[in-house]
Amino acid sequence: MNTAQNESHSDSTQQDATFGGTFNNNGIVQDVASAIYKYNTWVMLAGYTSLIISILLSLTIVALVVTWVGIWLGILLIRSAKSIKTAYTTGSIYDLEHAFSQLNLYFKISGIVSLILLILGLFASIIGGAFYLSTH
Amino acid sequence: MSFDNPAPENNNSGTNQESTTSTGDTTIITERIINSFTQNRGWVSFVAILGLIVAILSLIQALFQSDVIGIIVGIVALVSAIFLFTASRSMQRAYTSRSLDETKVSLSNLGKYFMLNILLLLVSFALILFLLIPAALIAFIHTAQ
Repeated sequence: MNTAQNESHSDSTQQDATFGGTFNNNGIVQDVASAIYKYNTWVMLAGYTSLIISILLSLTIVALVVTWVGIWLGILLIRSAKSIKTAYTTGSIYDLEHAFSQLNLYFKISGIVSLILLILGLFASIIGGAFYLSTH
Repeated sequence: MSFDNPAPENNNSGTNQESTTSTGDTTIITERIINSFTQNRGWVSFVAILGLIVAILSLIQALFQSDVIGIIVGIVALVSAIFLFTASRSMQRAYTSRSLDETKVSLSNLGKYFMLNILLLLVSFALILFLLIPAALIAFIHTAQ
């Protein structure tokens, strides 16, 4: 019983220490992290899949120009999943913030890449359409 | 400095101060979590809307072509995009209402989005193998003859 209490106390102290030594997380970090921790394996798997597919695609030199984005996205997801796991187990708000910053960057890069692809697609359609009309 | 031992009403000023600091800590932590989570909510919404449009268009195309495989992939992609869109809406609500519950709902939906993305990939791989192996066998038999 005493050992359990000591362990509990040391956990609480550790939580305080991870938040600048003066703050009390009060389980909020774990509570928030648990919402995505259930799916952490899938996030990790998504990261590794993106990484592996991008590496395989980059073996063709032409695709190397594009696939580094996929590698980057995969690394971001893996980092995020690892930080979520740490935040869930230790209650560290810094790890939770790090996980969110990696997720945010993931969606920002995804958005920018999608936007670029959309513009390139529209541009290609216009040029293709114009070419088709001029030849027929 | 913990909520496990709340200060009684007729307590001294020291304990009251402790309780106030705990509440303050909770508010600071909540703010930090919500701020860091909702920082790029615009990009998440953009990716979600784009995903929805692409999924709907590919599903319509598959329906017109009566492509069963395309329909299966399109439905999974659409559900995945819906989860991301729901996550982005919850993220927006978490930002405006400063609610941790909305943050958790959003995180849960994000998790489901990643899970469905992997399922989509697995379905695609399974379908490729399902089509590729018979095609390779037919080609092998044809060349052997």
